[in-house]
Amino acid sequence: MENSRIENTFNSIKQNHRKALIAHITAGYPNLQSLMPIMQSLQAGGADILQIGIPFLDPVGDAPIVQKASQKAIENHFTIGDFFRTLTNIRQEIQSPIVLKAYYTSIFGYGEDKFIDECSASGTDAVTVPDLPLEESSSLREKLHTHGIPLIYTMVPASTERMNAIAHVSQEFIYLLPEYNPDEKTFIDGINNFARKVRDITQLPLCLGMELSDHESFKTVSSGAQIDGLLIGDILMKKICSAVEKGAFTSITEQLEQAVKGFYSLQAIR
Amino acid sequence: MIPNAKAKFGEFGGQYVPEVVMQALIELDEAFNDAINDEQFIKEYHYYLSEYDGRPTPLYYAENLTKKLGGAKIYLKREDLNHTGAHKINNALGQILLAKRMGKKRIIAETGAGQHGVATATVAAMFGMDCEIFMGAEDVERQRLNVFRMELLGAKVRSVTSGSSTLKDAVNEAIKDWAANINDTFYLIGSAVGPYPYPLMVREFQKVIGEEARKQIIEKENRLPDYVVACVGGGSNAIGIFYPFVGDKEVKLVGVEAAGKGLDTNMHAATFNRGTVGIIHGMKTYLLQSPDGEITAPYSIAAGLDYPGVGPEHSYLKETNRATYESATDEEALEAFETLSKVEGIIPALESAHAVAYAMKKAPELSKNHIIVVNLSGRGDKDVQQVAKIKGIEEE
Repeated sequence: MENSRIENTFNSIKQNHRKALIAHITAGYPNLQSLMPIMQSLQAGGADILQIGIPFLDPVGDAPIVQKASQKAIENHFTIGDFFRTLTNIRQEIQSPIVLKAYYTSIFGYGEDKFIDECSASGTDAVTVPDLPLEESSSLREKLHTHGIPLIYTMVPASTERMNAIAHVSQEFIYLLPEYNPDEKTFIDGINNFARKVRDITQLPLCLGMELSDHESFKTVSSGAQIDGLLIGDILMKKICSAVEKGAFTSITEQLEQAVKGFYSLQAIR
Repeated sequence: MIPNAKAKFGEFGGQYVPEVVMQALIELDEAFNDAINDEQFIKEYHYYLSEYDGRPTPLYYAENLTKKLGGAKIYLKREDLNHTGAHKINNALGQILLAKRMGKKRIIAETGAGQHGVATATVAAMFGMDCEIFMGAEDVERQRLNVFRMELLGAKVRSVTSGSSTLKDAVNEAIKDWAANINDTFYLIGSAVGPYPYPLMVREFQKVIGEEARKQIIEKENRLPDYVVACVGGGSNAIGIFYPFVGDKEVKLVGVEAAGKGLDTNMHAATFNRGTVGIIHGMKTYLLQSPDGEITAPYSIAAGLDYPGVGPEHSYLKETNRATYESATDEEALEAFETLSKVEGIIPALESAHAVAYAMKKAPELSKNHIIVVNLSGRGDKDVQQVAKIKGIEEE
């Protein structure tokens, strides 16, 4: 079987001895038309994997800036149907893997089967669902798998039994969410201890599911943490929001590209 | 019924939460199951229910109301006589005892109008725990007196400005806080909603209402009632009184939702009469939502019924036709509020007035040998100012 875009990405990153840079943005803000240029700028800046969040009004895991953008998107009549139509066009222009992040509330509301069909038709490479733990995920996962689309799980430090069970059904990569600690060394040690335990049970690439928002922490984690990918997101949304508020949207693609480049250049070579 | 291994009531309920919250739910589930099977724990819970809360509450024959309506006999389960004025304290006591048993030091809770916040702040004060109440900024503004009450009881009230700044946003923020402080914090949910084990746990701590009522009606009438009626927002007072009657097939269970300005307007909280199945606050249940699963804003004159979802066990009772869910409008609730006050000298909470309104509609249709038990879940002192304003008696 041919390798997927995600597998190819991690293979090439491994060969280049660096970590994958995952750039996350929320769709529909300021509007759906802007999604294509935004994605292009993230790719041009060096992001290896592009993750798109479907706006949702009642998120339990999102930063205030993302909530605000989501709310505006929905006020501007964002619909999941329109989103998939846009994504299908974007897929023609973007070679990087695209991961969708959607709350299960939205997926269930839209219709699980319809959502999966649209993922498949639009060339989505993976789906991650923050409010769908292992216990509730089998139906969605199995249906996605029949279309060759993995469901990306998040692991937190838990019992070995639970981590085993999650690893067992995971494909392509896993997000790790370690306990945050303001002390840098303790934090990095925590990530590494956690990652070591997970590596004992799976060969899959492990990415940090916690968004890094400044250069300093990115640099520290990039050089110290024994993991395969890092996530940035809130910082990109902040740039988009502030450009929109200043009415300077035309410069946003340039700004985003530079921002991603900034993080890319901070990556430690292993 | 006991939820199956997947934490469901039929297809409803479950645990639609982030992985980090799952860790807390797993810990909670173990601790809860351990506790309710421990005689010592149950004894302690009942000790506080009787000594601190004032249980058992009476099952009062509303003779004047019955005569006025000229039909079925109406009994009121007087949950309004609980300490703090509503059934909410039953659950708050149970959960805080569990929190204590788990070694937690900090209690958080969400509140809409402030009733559950006050009940939580009350028990936190008594057990000497730190307490933080999440409340939508809109509600903080509308319910200043309850905010003061919670602060008087030593709680910190955190005003939530995300989303629509109401109850559902307060729940989201409380879940986030819990996820971030899972080691020392206990999230005390106020209704029979949320991810498993909350709906089950809240029912277990509220079923005392139905257990007492069942025993009391048999003592008084030597038989079971024909109807058990309760208002439904999230559904904790309803599941509390329904559950012990679920096995009694001849007893009709009727939940009454808020029809607000009318079921055909967009101003109601009639989750069953106008909603569809979806996901909200970690559970699969009926809710008011847009076609993309965005939760739509509910409305009711009674803040405690103003919730877009409903407890998953109610969805199951509806789906299996064991209970039916009717509705009462603001207007009908107000009429019941006034009637009960005038005829029985009991001012009901506007929430409970919805259940009374249904009984007032139903009783005249039934012959005198029928019995209706109404759960009078709370007292209406908190609503007097609002009703006065609606009637133009008092300007705010």
